[in-house]
Amino acid sequence: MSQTLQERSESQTDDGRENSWPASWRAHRQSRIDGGILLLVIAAFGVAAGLPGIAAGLLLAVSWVVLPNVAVFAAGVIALVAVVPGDAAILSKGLPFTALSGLLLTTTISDDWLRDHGAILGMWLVVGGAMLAGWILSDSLWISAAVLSGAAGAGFIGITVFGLKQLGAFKDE
Amino acid sequence: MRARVQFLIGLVGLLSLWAIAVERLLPLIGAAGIAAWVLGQQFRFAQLVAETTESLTATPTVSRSQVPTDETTVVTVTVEAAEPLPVRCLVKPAFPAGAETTTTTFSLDRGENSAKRSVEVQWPVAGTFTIEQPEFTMRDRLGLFEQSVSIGETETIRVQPRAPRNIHVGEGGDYIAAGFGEHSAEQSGSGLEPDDVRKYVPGDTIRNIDWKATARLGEPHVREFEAETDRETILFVDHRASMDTGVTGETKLEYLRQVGLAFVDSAQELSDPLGCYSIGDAGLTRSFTPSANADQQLSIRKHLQSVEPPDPEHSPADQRNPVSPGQMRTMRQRLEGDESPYSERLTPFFARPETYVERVIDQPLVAAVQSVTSRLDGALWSVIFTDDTQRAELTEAVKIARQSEGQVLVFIAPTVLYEPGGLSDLDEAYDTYADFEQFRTSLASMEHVSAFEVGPADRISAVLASGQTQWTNTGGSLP
Repeated sequence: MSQTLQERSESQTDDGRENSWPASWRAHRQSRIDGGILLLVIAAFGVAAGLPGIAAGLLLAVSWVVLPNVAVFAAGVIALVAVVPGDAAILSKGLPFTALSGLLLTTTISDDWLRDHGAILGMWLVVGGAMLAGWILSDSLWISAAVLSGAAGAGFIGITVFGLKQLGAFKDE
Repeated sequence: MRARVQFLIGLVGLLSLWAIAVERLLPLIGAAGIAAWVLGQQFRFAQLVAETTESLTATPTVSRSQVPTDETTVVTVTVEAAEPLPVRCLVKPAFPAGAETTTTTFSLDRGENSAKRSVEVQWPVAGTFTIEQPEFTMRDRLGLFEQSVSIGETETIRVQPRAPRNIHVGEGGDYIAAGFGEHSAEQSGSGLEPDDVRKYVPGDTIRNIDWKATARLGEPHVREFEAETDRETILFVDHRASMDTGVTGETKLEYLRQVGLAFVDSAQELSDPLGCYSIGDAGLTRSFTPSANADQQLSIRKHLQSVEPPDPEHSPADQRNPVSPGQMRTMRQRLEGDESPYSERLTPFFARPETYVERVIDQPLVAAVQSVTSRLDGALWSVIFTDDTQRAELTEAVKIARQSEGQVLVFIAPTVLYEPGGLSDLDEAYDTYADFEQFRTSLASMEHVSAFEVGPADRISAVLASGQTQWTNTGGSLP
């Protein structure tokens, strides 16, 4: 019986509904396209790096068909470092990066966009702020990366504990 | 932690290392963005789970709170939420280990706020089981996080072993008290129970003089004591294939077994001599000659507890019920005026009443009773446990048993009360029972014979209630 149950829970429920929990990346493809963020990224890359930037933007658009937003964001950051020199104007780096950041806000966990985006931006402020503070204080990428890892790890554990407390775990005797 | 989150954490690490490798801050800011995105989603998921858990109620209900083993019940799990669900939930009812079911899980999609699921659950093991709170597994729409939590109420079900319950032993539907226990010889003599005081007559022993009564009455009186006997009881237990009728654990034999065991209890308590003979399709299968020996009575108890009907595959196919001489006479009279070839063909079969005796004497129960009673001396209490399928044979066996100057008790399991499908047609069941009752009465009308029906009390009540209804509807004329 347990085997049957396990098999079913992995594939579908007993009432025949698909149990492939919303195929998140593919399910939101159309909304991403409708959002126009795709064009914004290509344009921003074109402005920042000219023809190579447009090419990189187009490649990201193609990868978008199969990759989730967050992965495209990571690929975009790599492309940005590749096509925009380190000594370029801050606007040349900031504009495409801002456009890429929009990718992180186009998929939400619920229908409550305000709270979803608020949570992401709030976390970015905390984690990014900690990392930047480390960079400013130490002028070392190693230390900045370590601070980032520490802040992210602490945040992950903290939210897990918060979630369990909400469900009634760790109740006082 | 789900694989997608692990992938994203790996991505953060790679971007950080790459930032160090190329000595650029930008990849590190990107890594911080991804980490913040994961944390933001995690935080929102934790909030959603808490909100969902608060709004959900789950109630498992069972169609019957008490069932016999191997019975199937319908368990319905009702899930309701105060608000449409923000996350999809997979609901898994938590059945105990003693339950067997093939279908278990169902889901509530985002936006839904109620669902009901009924599943058939079989209970092969006896005991008290609790259906725990259903387990809800929630996952976010991006497939990043998952949380399982048990919510709702519990339900208890009692699974009872299949065994005769509510045994009815009676006459014509009327329950009788146990017909066994202490037994007086209904005559005075020596014994322990004081009986009466009478005048002294020459020959009385001086020990029996009641001095108080003598002083009070002014002349010698003796006190008599009630004489008690050791009743020699013989149990004839029919365990042929027909005794297997009924659902598992509630067959004719199971019910009669309980009555038989009560006789063993009584014999043990009173130290009465007890014998037991079990009759299978081929004749006697086990015999215990009457004895008050405690070990033998224990053996009889063990035997009664373990005796079973034979495997149907090994039972003889020929189970004909001989026609009694009375029935043969009736048939012969009917055929007398008929000159058809059909009548000519049948007449010889009803011409010789002695064939009945020849055939019935070969029947296992009759043969066993005759064999046993002819070997034993004195007044016996013969107790026969059987059903009503071989009526002519039983009648003959009872006649033989009462020839030994003893009492005969017959406990009969009426087949109509044991039909596995239940009492689907109560009117028909009542007619069949009425026919049985006629047979039982005919046995009980014999001198020194008492006949009782043994069966489930609820069924006999249902049958008799149906008879009452028939009686009312037909204005008091019953078949």
